[in-house]
Amino acid sequence: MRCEDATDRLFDLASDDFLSKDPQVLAHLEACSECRRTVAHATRAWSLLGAAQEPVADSTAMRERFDALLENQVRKSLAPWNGRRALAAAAALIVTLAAGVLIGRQFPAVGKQDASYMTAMRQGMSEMRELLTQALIQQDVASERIKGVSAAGRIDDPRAELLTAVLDTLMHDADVNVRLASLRALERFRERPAVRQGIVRALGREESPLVTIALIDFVVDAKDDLAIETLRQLAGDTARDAAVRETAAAAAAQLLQGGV
Amino acid sequence: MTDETLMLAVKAGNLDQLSGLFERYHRPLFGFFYRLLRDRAAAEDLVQDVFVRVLKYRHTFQERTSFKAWVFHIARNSRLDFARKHPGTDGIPDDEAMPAVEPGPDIGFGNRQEVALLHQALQRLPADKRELIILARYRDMNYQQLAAVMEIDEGAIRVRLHRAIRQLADIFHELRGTTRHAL
Repeated sequence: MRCEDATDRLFDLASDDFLSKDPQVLAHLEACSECRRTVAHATRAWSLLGAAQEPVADSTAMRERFDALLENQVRKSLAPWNGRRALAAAAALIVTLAAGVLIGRQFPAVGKQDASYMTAMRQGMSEMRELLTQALIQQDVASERIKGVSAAGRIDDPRAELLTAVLDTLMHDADVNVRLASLRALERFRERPAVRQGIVRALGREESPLVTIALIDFVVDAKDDLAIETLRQLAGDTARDAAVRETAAAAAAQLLQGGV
Repeated sequence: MTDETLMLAVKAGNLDQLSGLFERYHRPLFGFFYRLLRDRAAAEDLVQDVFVRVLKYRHTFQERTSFKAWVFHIARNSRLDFARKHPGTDGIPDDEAMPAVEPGPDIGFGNRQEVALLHQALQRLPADKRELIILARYRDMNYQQLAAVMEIDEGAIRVRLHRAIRQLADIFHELRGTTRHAL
């Protein structure tokens, strides 16, 4: 066997020590010092690769995002609870609950039990409102999704799942207007760490100059130091729109100075 | 329950079963992306993107397919799309001293230095070769699975992997020589 015949047969993934057990290859190695050197270097490299630790994933944060994705998909797929029928059903339920609350106000009760009943009723309405909002975010029509994310922005203290759904819309929606509406909806919640982190991520991956500049304005308004590195990268990325690079550079400088 | 059984259940409409696959695969996928890109946020985004695609393309999963090969094929496409959108992320990083991964705790100082050098060498390989080595070494893929991920035949995979390893070894020894000389 010649070196050029052996060269692509020296190693074997199925072998414990990564070395080929092919008798022809072994015979060649006996005779060829050059191939023996190649094998020694490569097996050393292979062995050292195995000495590295596995990178540690932030499983909690990843799980949270995944759960929001799955929840939305499951809800979407649950026929007949999908599409407009789900919206209509949720809306009808809200109207019913609202009527219940109004009737309760007409006939005020003084008992503790009635007060807790009203609290539970209001909580039920709030949860239903969030469900309705999430159902809207999942609609196929962009204008419906805009309604969904805008509604999310009006909820006073939304659950983390709802904000995650809005952040995912900001990052993945194909429609620029939906992404912009998502960003506007998140403005009220910019003090939440998950929102700030999500915005910085979106800033790094956004391609539309319009949305990117809106994201830059967001991080400047939020005085978010975490965004400085991403802003610098944007400013130095020659593939980006000139206005984006300029705005990013100015924003990075502004955040570095610590003022707005 | 096997990965394939879970995925077939997902394909049949039982989307909750994807949760089990996420549990099994989010770390290996994260490790794959992180070793390639050395960017934690991008790696996390890409893992999410893979599961979005798994849901979107679930109807294409075939009964006799290895789920592992299928999901890493999706991961590869996801990474290629990312590279197209973010040119420059596949090249040699600016800070070559920054290790892609930490050496394990049970190895000596000399080996730690060598592991760090080797990961510098890994980052200098073209992305497709780096990807192949990462899948073979860290995701324990055999030739058949690698062939499925890359969509080429097993013979071609053997040749490519051999060449990638030899190139890695050459760069590593070059770097080692430079470092010794510098010391």
